[in-house]
Amino acid sequence: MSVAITGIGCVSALGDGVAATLDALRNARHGCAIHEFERLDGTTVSAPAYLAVKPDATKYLDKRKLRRMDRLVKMAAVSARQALDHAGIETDSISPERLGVVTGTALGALNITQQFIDSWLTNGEEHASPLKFMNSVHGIMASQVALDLGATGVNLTTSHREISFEAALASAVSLLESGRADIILVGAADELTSLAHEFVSRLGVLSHSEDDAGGCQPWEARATIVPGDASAFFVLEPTSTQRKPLAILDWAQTGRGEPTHVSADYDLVTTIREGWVRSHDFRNNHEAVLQSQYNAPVVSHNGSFGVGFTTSAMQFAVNVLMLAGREAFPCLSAGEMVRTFDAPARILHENASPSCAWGACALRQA
Amino acid sequence: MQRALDKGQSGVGRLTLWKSPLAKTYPVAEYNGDLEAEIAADGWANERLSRSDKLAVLATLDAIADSGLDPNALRSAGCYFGQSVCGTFGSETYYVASRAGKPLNDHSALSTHQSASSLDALGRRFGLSGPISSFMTACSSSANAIGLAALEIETGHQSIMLAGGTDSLSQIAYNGFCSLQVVSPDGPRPFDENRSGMCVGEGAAVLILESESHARQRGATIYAFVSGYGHSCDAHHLTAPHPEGHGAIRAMQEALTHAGLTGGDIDYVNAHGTATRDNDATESIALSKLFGDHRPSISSTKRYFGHTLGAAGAIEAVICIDAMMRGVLPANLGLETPIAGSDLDILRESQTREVRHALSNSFGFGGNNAALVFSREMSV
Repeated sequence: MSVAITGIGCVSALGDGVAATLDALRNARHGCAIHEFERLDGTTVSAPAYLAVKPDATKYLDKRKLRRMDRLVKMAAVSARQALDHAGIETDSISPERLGVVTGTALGALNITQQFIDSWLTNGEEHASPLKFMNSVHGIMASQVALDLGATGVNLTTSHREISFEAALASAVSLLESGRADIILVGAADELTSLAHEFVSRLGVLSHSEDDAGGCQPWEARATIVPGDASAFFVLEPTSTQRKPLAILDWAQTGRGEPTHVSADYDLVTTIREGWVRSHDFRNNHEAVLQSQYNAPVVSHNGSFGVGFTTSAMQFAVNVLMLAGREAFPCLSAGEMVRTFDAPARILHENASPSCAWGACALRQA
Repeated sequence: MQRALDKGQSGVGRLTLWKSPLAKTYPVAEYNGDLEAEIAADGWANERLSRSDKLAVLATLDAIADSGLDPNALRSAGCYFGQSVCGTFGSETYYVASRAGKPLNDHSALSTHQSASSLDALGRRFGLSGPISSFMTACSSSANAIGLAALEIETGHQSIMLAGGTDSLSQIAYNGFCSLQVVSPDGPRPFDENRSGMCVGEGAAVLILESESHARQRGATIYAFVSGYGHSCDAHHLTAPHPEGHGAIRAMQEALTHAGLTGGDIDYVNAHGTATRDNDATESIALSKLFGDHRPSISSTKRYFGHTLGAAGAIEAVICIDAMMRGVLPANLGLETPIAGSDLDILRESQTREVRHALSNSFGFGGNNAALVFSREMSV
């Protein structure tokens, strides 16, 4: 079933909202910088990363609500509100029972989970923090977005490593197809916390070189990646909507092993490319399969917003914006333009996890 | 499971998986098998699996063996699982050791931390290539996984789906629920006026879902049909259910409508029934409003297995199907004094009764409500 995408909200290192994101993409600006990360032993390290900017949350949420939200939930709640705004939807104009929220996240509320564990390590198990616990569950973003909007329709959280967003997208399409909602806010967010940075660094994966302040080098064989975090949400509706679609989503699915959706009808294939030479055989092979199957450029905009578990939601946003504006945004490597291509009319959005799972969807101009 | 249900055996006991000052007060429901030996017997001794992954693999092996499916037929199958705790039993230990500055050489807890670890393990073991996703909606997770997997089949996208849930005990879950002061020192007594809370448990359950034509074509024994799935969000509070059960009623009603049934068609309800003050009070209100004068047999099975969180919906789906197959409904263990003013037919003892349609409720944090209807025959 085809569905219409009628709104986008995004908070990333490129900026707060669609206008800032478009400006950065059009002008080939990246969001990488050197940041400080705290270590568990009390020291700090400097490393390149694409950390999402602090969104203007007070534009959408009152202080009472904001007090109950950590950085991750704020990013999600703001980008969800932005998406509705972008679509021109007033929440009081729609039936709350027909408004759904489907959110992908790999690590969920990692920072709050850490604070919860710290609460019992510091104070004893008898005095663990109930507030931290109730905010540590994986579904907290979808719950808080629903609470903020009063959305009493379907409310799901999907989690599957790098394809968490694509799994959310597939579920949202399925729910619209089966008539379970009129509008679904689908999105994804993960946070690059200091703990995530420390633990992933132990695997030898992350760049600690200030020479990488220019960001990812997706087409270079690198030993490490430059991480990032972001939140992006989208308004999905049946194509019968009265609102003008930004793009049409023809299908979305997940799977394991070889992709089952091969078709030549695309002008562009976007994938997650991080330039990490150790990025697992499956992922590299997956891209080789794509390259051989499609007579179209296979590109990635990770050089703009970094690599994270759910930054593919940002790639999806880039794809929708390219289709909506009938334009093409250049791909960056170490901050330099390396790939340009013609404005696409049909895009295959592809993503794969090193664990052999993949997620994909087909997008076209409205 | 059948033996425990028939004999009214509770799996609630003292915590042994780790040392905790809370253990002398608050019991848990640990898996009582030899998990390591059982997983090693299937050739997984050297695999990096979390405790939750191991429970998932064992349950799936059982389900596949019981289905009589040719393993080759599974290659196109998809897999939806519900989880909540996932691999945190290992990763929380890793974090605590890291925080204490202990040197660590084994980082496998980082990769098995995520829910995807269980599905990846199942994918490797059974060569699955269909749609794959883990749903994390707290205690309604696996009910949602089953409902969404059934939709994949109903819409014709898939002919076989593995659907279930898995969760192991963890310090995060145990300390968390204790911190909320919703864990009972005496074990759960669902729907009892004097109930004092829940008991955290662990487990896994898997259903093999097939399109009817696929199942009939291969001559499979069809245990039941997933005939209805309903889902809603309270959007009321992060942990407390809506006091009037609005969201719960909508989820149950949607499941009935999906199944082409009315409340009067339901013979048995496996209630969420956590034995917390809030849940049982609001679920009682919701059930009363939904069923009106009709009085289906109702039980919560949380005292048998504890509250297995992300796995609860799947385990209770199996209980509903078992009740339907054998015509034996499990007792609501722990019930002495029904909630004042409630006229629900909560089963003090197990009951022999023909069950044509059963309803299973699963409600999670964030007011996440899921309801499933299982039917012996399809009515629409």
